[in-house]
Amino acid sequence: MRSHPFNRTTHHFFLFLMPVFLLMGCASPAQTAVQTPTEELPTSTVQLATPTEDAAGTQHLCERSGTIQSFNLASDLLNDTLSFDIYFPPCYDPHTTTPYPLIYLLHGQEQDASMWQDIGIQAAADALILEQSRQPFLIVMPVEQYYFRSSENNHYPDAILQELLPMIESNLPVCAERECRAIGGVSRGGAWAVRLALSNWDVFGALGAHSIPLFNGDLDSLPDWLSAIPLADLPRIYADVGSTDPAVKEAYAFEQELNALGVPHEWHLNSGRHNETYWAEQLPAYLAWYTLPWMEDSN
Amino acid sequence: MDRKNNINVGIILVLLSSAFSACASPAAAATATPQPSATVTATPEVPTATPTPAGCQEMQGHFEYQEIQTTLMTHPLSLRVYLPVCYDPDGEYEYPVLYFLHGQSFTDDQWDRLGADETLDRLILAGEVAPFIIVMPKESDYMSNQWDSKYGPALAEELTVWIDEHYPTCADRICRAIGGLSRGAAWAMRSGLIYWETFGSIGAHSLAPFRGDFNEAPFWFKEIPEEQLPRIWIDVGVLDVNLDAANTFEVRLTKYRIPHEWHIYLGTHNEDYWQAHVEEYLRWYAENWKERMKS
Repeated sequence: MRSHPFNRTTHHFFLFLMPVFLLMGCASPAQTAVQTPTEELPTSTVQLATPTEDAAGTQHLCERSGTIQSFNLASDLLNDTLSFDIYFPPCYDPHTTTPYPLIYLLHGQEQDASMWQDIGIQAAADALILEQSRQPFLIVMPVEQYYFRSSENNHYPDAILQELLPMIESNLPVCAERECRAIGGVSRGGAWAVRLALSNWDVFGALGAHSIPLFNGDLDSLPDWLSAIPLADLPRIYADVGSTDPAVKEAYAFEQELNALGVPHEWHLNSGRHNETYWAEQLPAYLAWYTLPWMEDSN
Repeated sequence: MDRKNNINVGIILVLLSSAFSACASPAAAATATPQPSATVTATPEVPTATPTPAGCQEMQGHFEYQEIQTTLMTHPLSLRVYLPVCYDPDGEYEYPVLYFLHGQSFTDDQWDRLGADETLDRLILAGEVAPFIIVMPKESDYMSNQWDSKYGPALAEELTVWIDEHYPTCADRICRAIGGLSRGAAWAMRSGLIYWETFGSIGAHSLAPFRGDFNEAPFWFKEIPEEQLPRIWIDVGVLDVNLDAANTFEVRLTKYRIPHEWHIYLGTHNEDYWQAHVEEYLRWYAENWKERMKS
């Protein structure tokens, strides 16, 4: 097992988060829980309040749409705050006996977690759960505040793996198996996802690399990363890029390396560019793919 | 700014808010499965397979065996036509058609043996795909030189017309898909690109491309208006001896920025592989016909 280096600050964070999560199931259906992360104050605290009248006493009611809430985590590895959003599915139940699978989605350069809302993640995720037989799932969307920093000696991926992930798993009713954990991202976020998923194959069961150029050097690392993974444990891999995206060549270099190494995967060249229009168009397909192994039993 | 102070403020806020909100509603006991509720208006549309006639009790469709004389080929073209569960020749529904081609050394029974018919019926009955017809032609001279053979042109130019005349089809390119495995995939790719006005989707399963097509393909691409490009799917087993050749073809698609998808699965070039993926194939073809389920 990986170590979970919590210090006092993160511990405090847990203490305050716990009641938040416990209560979340009580959140009223009327509330719109979409909020932009603020730098320091745990914004989640604001929105848990005030049940509305129609929430009281209507047992059958649970939200027909999911909610997105923002949180902050004091990260030692970053020596800074790590903000993140969480998508909670319709009828989210903090006391569920069937733990939720979850997707980590990483935004691109010059973006933050709000990009996922901009491109319609809540409606797309809701639709899969309500209309396409997916088990309810969570989506965690961290913010890379210093997206302009070099990828070398960058602790963002470490913070995700060693701080965010254990924090999520010890505070939320999520399934802590690799088959239940998917990771993906767009552009720079996709490059992080590749590095995280392939160098930690025992953690993630699926990898989505959307519109990526890899970080310098990572193409050369692929053979080592991939040869360390037992064939049966290779993560599911999805790579795609827009046909007029300047990153086509780099995205394709990644994909061709997978071919050369004999690694099962899928590759989609779609019409489109390197922008939120493209990702908004593709998002339903991305989410459908991540959640494909998480079907409700039909019986 | 002092983070710790903020966190303390946060804790207080949480405690306060929790005091107020303390599970006022029994909804907290809601299960994780979405439940329909009277107060909610936007219920998801349940796909109904209206194209199947009301009251149809069938559990499976049936094959019809045909033989037609084309002008392009010297010998008759044999084929089997799968008419899916609850097929209704007299209804208003116009069926999309998948032309599904077998591989070298096989015949028109191959997709039947691989379970395409049963799988299609199951998906239709579950309301997951719109009903469509599968035409499985037989390439009897499958060893013939692929430039001398008129099999591909006969399918695109003559068989499609004959099918549209004899069955209640939707005679539009969007409603026609061509797909195949191995050599059949090579035919599907070539005919689908050359006859882009006839087919809206091309599925190439375990593609064993015709050699000359690597260099021909860019000329075919040039003829197709960008907004008319067919949907293209290629898949290959990771241990398939054709992987390199298939990839060489796929490189052309990416190089010329032709949208497509490419799937590498575990497996090799055999019927176990195709059987394992036939459902995925059918779902992919049917994706283009989703709207037909609703009307």
